[in-house]
Amino acid sequence: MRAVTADVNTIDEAKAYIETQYGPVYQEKLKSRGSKGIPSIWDNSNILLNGRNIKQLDGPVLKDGDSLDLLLVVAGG
Amino acid sequence: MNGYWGKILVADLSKGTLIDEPLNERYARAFLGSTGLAARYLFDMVEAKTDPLGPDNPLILMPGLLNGTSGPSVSRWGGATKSPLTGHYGDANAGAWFGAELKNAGYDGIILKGRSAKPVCLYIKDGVAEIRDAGGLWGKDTYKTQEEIKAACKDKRTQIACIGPASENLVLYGNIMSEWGHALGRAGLGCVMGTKKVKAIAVRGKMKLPMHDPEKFREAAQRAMKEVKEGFLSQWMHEGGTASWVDSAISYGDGPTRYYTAPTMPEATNVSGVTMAEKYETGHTACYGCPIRCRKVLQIKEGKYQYESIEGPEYETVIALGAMMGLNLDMSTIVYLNELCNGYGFDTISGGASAGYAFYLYDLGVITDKDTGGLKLTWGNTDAAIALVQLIGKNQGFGAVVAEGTRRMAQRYGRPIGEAVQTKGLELPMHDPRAYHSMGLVYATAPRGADHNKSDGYQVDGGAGHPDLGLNAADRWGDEKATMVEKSQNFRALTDSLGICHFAIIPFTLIVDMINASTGWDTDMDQLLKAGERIFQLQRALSCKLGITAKDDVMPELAMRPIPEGGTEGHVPNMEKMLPEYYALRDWDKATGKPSKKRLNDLGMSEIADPINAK
Repeated sequence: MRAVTADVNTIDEAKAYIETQYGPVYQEKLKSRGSKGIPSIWDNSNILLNGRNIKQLDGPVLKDGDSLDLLLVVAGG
Repeated sequence: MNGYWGKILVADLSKGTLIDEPLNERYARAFLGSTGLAARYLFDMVEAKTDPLGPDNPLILMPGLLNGTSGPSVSRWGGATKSPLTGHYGDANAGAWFGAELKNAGYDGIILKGRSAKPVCLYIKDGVAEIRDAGGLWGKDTYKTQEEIKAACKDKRTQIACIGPASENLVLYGNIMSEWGHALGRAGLGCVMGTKKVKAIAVRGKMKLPMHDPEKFREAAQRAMKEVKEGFLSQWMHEGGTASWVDSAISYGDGPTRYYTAPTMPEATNVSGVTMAEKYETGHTACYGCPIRCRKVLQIKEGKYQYESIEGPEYETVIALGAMMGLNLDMSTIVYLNELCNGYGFDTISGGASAGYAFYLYDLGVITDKDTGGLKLTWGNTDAAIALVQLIGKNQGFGAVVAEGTRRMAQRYGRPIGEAVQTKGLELPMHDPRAYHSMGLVYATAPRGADHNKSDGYQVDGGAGHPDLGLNAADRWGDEKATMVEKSQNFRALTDSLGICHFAIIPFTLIVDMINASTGWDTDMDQLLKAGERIFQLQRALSCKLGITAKDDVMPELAMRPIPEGGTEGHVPNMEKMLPEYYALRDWDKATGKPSKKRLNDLGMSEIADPINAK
């Protein structure tokens, strides 16, 4: 688990910021659907805005101090 | 009969006899295999008055319907008994190789009855079974037991299901271990095996299961293999394993910390699957026929307990043996704790939760050093936790109190029963219902007591939809959960009975194709989902037969107290809304909790309705 602080205004800006942080290979995995149509990491991720999945929010707007959790959609044991 | 061998091995330990009994084909067609079929046999064999620790309580072990085939990730097997921990229906599932080997040894299941006068092992090879003395193995841990049996058999591919000292000593949540660290973990099946003085069952099989259309099966299995290999979940489970969920659990507030009283501790990331992968992983192990290979092999050359090669612990274990007691662990110590539990052979979930409750009671001052035999159970005291785990395994001293589980602990110390975080006597797994409201409903209604794997609740609430079931990712704090929980419980009752792993996303059409090609049936997904519902309702009816009523479908109060800080943000499931909606879907009686006679009849179980006096 890693925590970073970023100056961004939207979820898309946050995603773009993350893509620049971990090198080109990870950037490709985040975005690419791959040659076999395998979904990308973003396609299989949850983004929580202050704990709430943005899929359940209507056009979320970021403000100072907001917390974004970027999590893979995976099952625990 | 295709897809089955048509026979069950019945061991009467009191008489020392082994008999091959014909498989009840009607039961097999309706309840498929593993925990579904085992529950149906168990229904005929236990009553409310049956003593779980007595010789009349059977232990039934069964492979999943697809075990031993070339289908991908279909090796899960299961067992059922009257649980000594809960006093009613108990079941457990495991992966690894035992189920597949049993199927390939020519049996559709094993029923252990009676009680042996001395320790014994069952040996099964290619359709022939025998009972051997196990006096020399009694007292040995599960690792040594497996090692010695394999050496004696001179065949490393012999698969073993065994108990350790915990079940010999009748720890109520003693488990059955196989393939080193895989467990039929929950509800105390190992304890029942211990009462029967059966130390181990060893199986080896090279027999070819009769199939209706082997070529068609192979085609479907190959397509399913491709799907599983390329699935995102498969790939991530390979990379991170179940323990990778620890990091998500911290964000969601999913990992119970300081016995349900604090936000998930961020330090748990030090023992997450991601940390394992980045710092300690040297390889993976796999269950029979599984391309995912989610279990990690670690090398640990730092810390107090060092290992050249050791299997990494799973998510449930990492939280139950760590955050639950407020322990800030390093990888060396969590692996050591896991190895202790596995070696003694007891459930890390109930064991960790019961130990956590002891820490909680100590923190409140309800128990003191006088009760604990000098153990200072202050949050985060790792040395005390290790000592307590060892005492549980031996069922000695204060460990004998904790070995009885949280409900009995609450009764012993005169505490409110809702303080013991369990449902129907079984401790909650490590998915906090305040993080996903659906899990409140899942835990409250699971037939055996709290069971996170009898649904897809936390996955769906966690953002993973289930298109084949028509389930979309949902708001984790919403309370419109009844339909999703009912559907996914039925689905998991089905996949458990088939032997399919939760991490293998196999398209419905291929599941159907594999079953039809194996058995010669002409089934479809609607029929299979109905079978899933039938199995779930059967297990519920069995719980009711053994004394469970609607008043037992209740969440423990301590796990329903809001925690404003951290990932749950003060949210609590609305059980008053969800439970009645769920009851209506299930057609359960509001007072007795029993499935209605009409629903049981609709599911083809009229024979179940009368014994439980269904209305």
